[in-house]
Amino acid sequence: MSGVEERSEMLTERTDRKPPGAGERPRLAVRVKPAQMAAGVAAVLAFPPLGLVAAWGLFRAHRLGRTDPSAAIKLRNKSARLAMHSFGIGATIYALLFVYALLATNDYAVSRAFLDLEVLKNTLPMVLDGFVLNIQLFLTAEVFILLCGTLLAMLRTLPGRPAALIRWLTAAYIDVFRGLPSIVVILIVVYGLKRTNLPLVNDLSDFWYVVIALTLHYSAYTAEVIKGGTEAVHWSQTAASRSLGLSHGQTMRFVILPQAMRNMFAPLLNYFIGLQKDTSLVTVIGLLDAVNQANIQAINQSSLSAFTAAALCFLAITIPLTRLADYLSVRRRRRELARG
Amino acid sequence: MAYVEIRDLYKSYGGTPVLTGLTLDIEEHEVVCLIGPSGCGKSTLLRCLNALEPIDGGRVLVEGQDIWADDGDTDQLRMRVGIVFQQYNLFPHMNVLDNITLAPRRVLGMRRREAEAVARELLARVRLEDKAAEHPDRLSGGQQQRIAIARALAMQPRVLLLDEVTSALDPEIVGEVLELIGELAADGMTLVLATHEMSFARDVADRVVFLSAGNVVEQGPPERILTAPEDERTRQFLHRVLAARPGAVTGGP
Ligand SMILES: Nc1ncnc2c1ncn2[C@@H]1O[C@H](COP(=O)(O)OP(=O)(O)OP(=O)(O)O)[C@@H](O)[C@H]1O
Ligand SMILES: [Mg+2]
Repeated sequence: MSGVEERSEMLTERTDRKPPGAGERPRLAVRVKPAQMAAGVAAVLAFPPLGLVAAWGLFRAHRLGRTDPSAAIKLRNKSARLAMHSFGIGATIYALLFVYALLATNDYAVSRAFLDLEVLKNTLPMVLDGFVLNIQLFLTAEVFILLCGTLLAMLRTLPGRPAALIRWLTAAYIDVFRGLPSIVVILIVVYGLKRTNLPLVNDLSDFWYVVIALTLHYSAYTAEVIKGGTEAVHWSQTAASRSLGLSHGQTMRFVILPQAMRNMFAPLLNYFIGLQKDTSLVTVIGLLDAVNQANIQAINQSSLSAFTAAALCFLAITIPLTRLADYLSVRRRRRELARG
Repeated sequence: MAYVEIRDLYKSYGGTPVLTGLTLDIEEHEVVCLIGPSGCGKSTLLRCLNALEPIDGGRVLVEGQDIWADDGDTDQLRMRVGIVFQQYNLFPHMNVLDNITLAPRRVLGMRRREAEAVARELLARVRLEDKAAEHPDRLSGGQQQRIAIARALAMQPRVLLLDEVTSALDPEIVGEVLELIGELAADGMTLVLATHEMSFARDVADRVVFLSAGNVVEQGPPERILTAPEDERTRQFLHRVLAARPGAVTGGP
């Protein structure tokens, strides 16, 4: 409940009271809003000690509504805030209890399986070794993805009738590779290209086959993001640029893409995160990445805690990236609001 | 031969005809005002003159060359014809100086220093020397519009098209932009302006062209078109404008 709303409501209440010859117009009773009632109920269920206080406050505010509206609004809003707080406290307690129960049931079976610190300590170095491959794949593929994605987006948005066929071709490419699961692309490229003895690509290492596969897949997504970003720039910018004599390509490079970039960061980052996780798919073709190492260690040490080591590796990268993507989109929205 | 010749120009948007066989000549050093009811095709005509819109029929000749000819250079010809838009359309990610120097550097191949010298001269001309490093969104509408005019002038066009360049401005700053346009006219620049400012048209135009339903209805010197129009549609249009803004034509209070 924001202070502004609170104040404006009090104002309306006051103006309602104003006409001295009242009677013909009934004074508005203060009502507890449905959302506030729901918060009260949730608070009682989640954390009764505070929840009951909040619910009692809401009830009294409801009673008070007919006699002293401004006091009622104050009490109601305060209680609603308290209800929300108690709900949050209660939910946190339940979540912690749930995790504890999960770890502790069956005589700590889950914790022994997944949180054996001894095993974690022994396997983490090897899993980290494998994780280096994930990082290498991620960074190498990302370079090619950005290049190909930009190229695809540019081809996809070429103007004019003679370019129709090119637009159609790139659209078909994008549709196909966005529609395929990345694992299928990896399997087809790695096993398929190796067998075909095609010149140039037949004696690449598996690493590069995977880079090719991930590039094929993710450049389609990236192209869509870039295309959307450029289309979000108002067409009058293109008109202004072209009218000054800049070509279509120059207009893209100097006018449209720099403006589109701001809109593209957050969605691109989200696909980077997806890519980072998808590097673990190389396990299926036998490359020794973090997940495959964890798998081997899990068998060797007969403890699933090795997988926890792999999970921690990925989270260490993906969570900061996720936070960054969130921060960027919040900042963008705030800027847009500020600009009006 | 006129500098710009428009011959039998047709243009439609998705089957709706907007320009219907329009023919018009623009002489060098002439100031031509396009007037007409909203939707009659003034903006569309200006955009066609700058090759921003593909046309459906007829020809647009600049210096006798067809701007859409297969063997012509559309970009070369459109550089002779600058355009300024109602909403300024400055590049928001660049400062004022970069806005003005972008095209001279990238299209004319000027060096940065050379282009900036030209830009500063133009900024002085529009009396905004001190705003060179400012970003457009920190400027008032009138200032932005003057920058947009400077940006168009930086390409040294022979003709400047102005599409209702004062319509988005607050009344008290319309004057500063009109004053600048008046100066351009006095310097002998060829101007084609779509405008609703009838008193300004009367003061500055050599010729007023009244458009209706995508074609020229009547044209001639401003005193004749604005005070003694022959065509019924022109009379009705001026009548409506006068009813909405008394004194608009005669330049009253
Ligand atoms: N991009 C477009 N797509 C479809 N129709 C359009 C487009 N641009 C203009 N039109 C239509 O063409 C007609 C002429 O528009 P135009 O903008 O040239 O009129 P105008 O004379 O400039 O009017 P105003 O005085 O309101 O600016 C209008 O009916 C308009 O709806
Ligand atoms: Mg218009």
